[in-house]
Amino acid sequence: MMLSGAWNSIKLALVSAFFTSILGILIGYSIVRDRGKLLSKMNDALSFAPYIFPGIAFGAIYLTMFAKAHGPIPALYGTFTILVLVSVAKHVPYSSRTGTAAMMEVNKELEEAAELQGAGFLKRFSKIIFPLTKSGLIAGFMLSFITVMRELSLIVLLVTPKTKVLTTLIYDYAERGFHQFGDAITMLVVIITLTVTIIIRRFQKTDLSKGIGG
Amino acid sequence: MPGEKIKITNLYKKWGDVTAIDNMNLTIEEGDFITLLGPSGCGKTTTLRSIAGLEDPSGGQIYLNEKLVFSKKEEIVVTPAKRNLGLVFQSYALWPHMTVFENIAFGLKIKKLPKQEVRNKVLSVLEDMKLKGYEGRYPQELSGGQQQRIAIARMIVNRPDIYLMDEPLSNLDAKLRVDMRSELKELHQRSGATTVYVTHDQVEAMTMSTKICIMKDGVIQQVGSPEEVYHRPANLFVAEFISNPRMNFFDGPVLSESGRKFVNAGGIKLRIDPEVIRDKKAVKVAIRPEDFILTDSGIEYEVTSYLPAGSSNLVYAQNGNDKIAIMFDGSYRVNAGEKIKINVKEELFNLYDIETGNRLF
Repeated sequence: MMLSGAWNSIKLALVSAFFTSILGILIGYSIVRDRGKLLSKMNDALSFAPYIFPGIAFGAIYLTMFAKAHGPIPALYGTFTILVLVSVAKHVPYSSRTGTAAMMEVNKELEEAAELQGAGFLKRFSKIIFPLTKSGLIAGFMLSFITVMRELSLIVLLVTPKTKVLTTLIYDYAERGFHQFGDAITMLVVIITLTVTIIIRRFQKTDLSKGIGG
Repeated sequence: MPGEKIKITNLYKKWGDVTAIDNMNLTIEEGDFITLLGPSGCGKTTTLRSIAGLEDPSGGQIYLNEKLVFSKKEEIVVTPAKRNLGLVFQSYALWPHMTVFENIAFGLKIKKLPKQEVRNKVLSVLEDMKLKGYEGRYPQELSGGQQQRIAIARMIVNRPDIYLMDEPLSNLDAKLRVDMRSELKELHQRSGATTVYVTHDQVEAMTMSTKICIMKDGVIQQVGSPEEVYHRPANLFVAEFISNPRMNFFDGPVLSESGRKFVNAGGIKLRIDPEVIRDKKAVKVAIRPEDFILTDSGIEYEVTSYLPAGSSNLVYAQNGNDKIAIMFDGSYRVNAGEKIKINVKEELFNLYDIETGNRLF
């Protein structure tokens, strides 16, 4: 039970952080490139909206929204997908901030120079913008990974025995009075979070020494 | 007969309430080196970016090689990549995460040229730009002048037939700027590519261009050869902008003497064509500092300061309320307080309408 919980936690944090950070860069891109325009301001405000909802309320919204199938979208309750969806939506406010900050550093002319050389949007993104905003992307990734790892209120309504994660396990144990078990799992959460952080930091440093950084 | 390389008709661009380009019409011939010159905010960069396709104008048409590439009415917008032009940005816009080689090879790789060909082309252009041996470096490890050359190399390696340059020398120190001027001029002569160059530096414009287009508040003030804009400025703005040292201006009353018309410019009586003056009571006279001569029959002025600069000397002199700047050649000596007698060289003055500022003669 603990192993599958740990695996679920890591999987959820990695997958959510992956999508959240990429979404953050894309939102940052749209906000910075159209700065001053109404669309940009709306985007900015909208990407921040999930921040004001309490996690549990957010979970409840997703619970009712995806309880039954809507058109092409199947009923997602009880799936891993709904946990990813809710985690991504909830953490986009953070990653869109880091994404916006990273994008501010990239001069518009750097992208235009690539455009003149015949690079389409995908090429420009993968060859120019993405490498230059990598530090922002990693920051967004870490922030999301750590918060999803220790998230409880957001997902407590949405997990089923099959999709149990470490934090909901702690909650179960605490509820049943097995405090020592709960504490042990808390330690596990801390260790996983720390390990991943250290690995990413290490990876970021070797990059910088190669002169890529940014 | 050179063809029309770039043709801009009725172009305008608005940012909210601000008009950046106001109904612009301009034709640039093949092989021209045209400079868009004007103070900041005059719309010159917006014009350049519109030609490049990086800016969507609010109206009008742009033709390149007699092919319509932009038309608001017909909703035609050809992407920058398909306009076969290159642009050197003011910031150079070199990609900091790529080596010099990768920066220059970028466009060739996008075109999917074979690896060996990319390599040959990049190395050959590096040699042309005197950057051999730097291909493995990152741009930020190089000096401003070298970065500038990489930006040019990145443009010319794709063999565009139009070169666009947005204040490319403004980030260089003074000495390097002068060297790069002649290098850019040579590049233009070698390649024959039509060049549109944006600057606010009149000396740069005068020395490099075959044609100068002077702009103010989004409106073209004058298009002409450097000689034309220098000796025959179309209006007071151009006269004032293209002047170093400052041009002399006089509000000259018109005098009539036995059927002839004269204008008084700081005491100097200049004979003028009655056809030009019609019934005007006064006109503005503009005289360049180098267009005065010393003559015994001239008007007396008192020298207030003498500024020798080696090859030429600048003299400030005063006569009552009239103050003038005169440029003499380097051998001339005079002391402050001395009296000099001056006149204007034959016909080397311009007359402007005081109200409209347009040139009368």
